[in-house]
Amino acid sequence: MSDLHWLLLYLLAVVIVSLLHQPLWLAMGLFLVILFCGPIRWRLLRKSLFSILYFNTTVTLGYLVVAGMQNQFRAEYLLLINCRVLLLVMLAFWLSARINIANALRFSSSLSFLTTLTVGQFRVLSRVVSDFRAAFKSRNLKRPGWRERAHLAVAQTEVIMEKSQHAATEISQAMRSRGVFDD
Amino acid sequence: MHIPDGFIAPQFYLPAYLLASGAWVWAARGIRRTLDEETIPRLAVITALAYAIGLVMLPLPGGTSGHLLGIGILAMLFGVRLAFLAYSLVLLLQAMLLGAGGITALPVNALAVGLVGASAMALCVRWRSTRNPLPAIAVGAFLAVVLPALLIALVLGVQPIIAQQDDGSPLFFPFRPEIVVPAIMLPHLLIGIAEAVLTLAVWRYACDRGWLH
Repeated sequence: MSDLHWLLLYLLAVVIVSLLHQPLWLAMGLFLVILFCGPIRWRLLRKSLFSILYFNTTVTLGYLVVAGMQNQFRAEYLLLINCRVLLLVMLAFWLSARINIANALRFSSSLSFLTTLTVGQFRVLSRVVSDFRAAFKSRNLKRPGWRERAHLAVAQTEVIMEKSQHAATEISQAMRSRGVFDD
Repeated sequence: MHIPDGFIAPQFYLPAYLLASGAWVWAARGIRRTLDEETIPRLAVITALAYAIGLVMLPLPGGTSGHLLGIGILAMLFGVRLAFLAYSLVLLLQAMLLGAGGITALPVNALAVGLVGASAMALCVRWRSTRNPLPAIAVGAFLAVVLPALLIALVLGVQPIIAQQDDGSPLFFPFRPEIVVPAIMLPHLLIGIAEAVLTLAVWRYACDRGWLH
């Protein structure tokens, strides 16, 4: 199956999951996804749990307080919402581990090109940010104040934009020389 | 601010996809004219910048999360159509690669942040004073955060009304507007101020580089 087919299958699965309102079915779906994920299953599960941790904890605690005060607490709701969110996030991570997003978006050459360039730029930017952080940390023996951190943010932003601009221009010119912009 | 996957009912997100599809077609019209070897690097830079800014997510009470958006910067430099497309792409990548936001929430997030937020900024930029453009840009960047936040709060708030069990318990997001609107709006007023300051810094930088005319 092509990446586009996997993407369409994923979209169908997402609609089906959001139409299910029985925690048992969602838990079974989660079990099946974990089963079929292969050797990366625990890494994906850990990543999924981590990515939903803050939001779902906030909703869960908020629901406990609000529903408890209104005497409308349903434990089944918490099971339902947490299973559904975890299953949807697992599906998304499974898909992104399995396919190349830019390939899946190839039905639109502009979208595919923009995705490739953006992901490339993000990698450049992430590297610059991590370099900045490491350098900043090594220069400060104790926790820096707001002024230092504000200076860091401004400097980071300028360098990030400058570096990305150069990198993107190079990529763009390289793609032009290969005829990407020619109709 | 993004709504994560699983909290929006299909009877809401499926029509939202229809609406967003129309908006994406409108935004993509003429993209070949606009996207050239000069524009693409800038678009990639700002999209990547907005993407990176969006990685820092703060949980907020009442059930959502907040972070700097960057939509004001996109709209200021590229206009509404490209900003909307670029931000939609940011949302897609965040959903697929980071589990932030989500595919079911994508149309709502894209329309609220990418279209409404960018439009607010673009209008303020259009009406800015040539002598002192800073206030209009700051207000635009602030509105580009606050208006989408209000829309998203309202969307979340209607979920327990439009999708509930027979016994009245919610199926998706559990809190009604009277809880979720203040819970989202209060922190986003602060986020809006931070966004305005960041946008002014980028505006100055973009002017120095000749990116703005």
